[in-house]
Amino acid sequence: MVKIKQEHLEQLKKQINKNLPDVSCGAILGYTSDGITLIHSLLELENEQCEKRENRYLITPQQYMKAEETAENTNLELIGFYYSRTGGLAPGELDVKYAFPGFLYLAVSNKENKIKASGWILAETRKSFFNQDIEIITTEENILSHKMAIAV
Amino acid sequence: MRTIVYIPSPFLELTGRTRVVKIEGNTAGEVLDNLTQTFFPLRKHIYSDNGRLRSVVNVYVNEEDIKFLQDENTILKEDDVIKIIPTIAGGSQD
Repeated sequence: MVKIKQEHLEQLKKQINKNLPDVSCGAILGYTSDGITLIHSLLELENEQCEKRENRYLITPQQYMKAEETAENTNLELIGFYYSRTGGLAPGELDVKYAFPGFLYLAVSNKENKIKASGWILAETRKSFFNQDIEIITTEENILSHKMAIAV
Repeated sequence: MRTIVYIPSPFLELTGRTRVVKIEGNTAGEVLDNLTQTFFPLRKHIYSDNGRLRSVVNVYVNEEDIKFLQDENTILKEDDVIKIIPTIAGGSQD
């Protein structure tokens, strides 16, 4: 289960619109415990893919380390990465090839200004993946109670 | 000589959530081999079935990718730090 704030979806929508037709991408920071992931913030990163940027994304090792450092400096966890899609949200062959178990991947589309998100985690065998349910949370009280639940 | 190795977030569950470890070895390859002996579940995520480093795993000695040094034969010096950095990429084949 992935819990995401409405404001994050708005942030994703803006980033996707700004970068069209290229794929947008970034890091997901937050908390995770007992199968629940709470997204605290999204760190927008440049798509460093040189070719086919409208279909593919690449995050450099330097950007990766920036995401790790940002998480550490803000007492958050680097819990995964997000990327935009113009087609379906199911992970494709390339997504699975480059994925690591232990990270959440969030595919996001913005068709007709309607944002959709789908989360998945690669299995330890690296041969399959698990879809993650997504819940949109709206209020700070919700977020605080989720944080406390995770902390317990 | 023991070298500091920085473990990236997706592997933390495989090292008991230890972020930084000190591992014996004179080359980058020796350190990685010893690391994956110490934390055996890491091995399949770092090495492919043929025993080579997986192409999606980047290994840096300080700020330099070992691909641009002597790869796994890169000789380590006192105070060097190894960072294991996963490649983050994806997209559709079109």
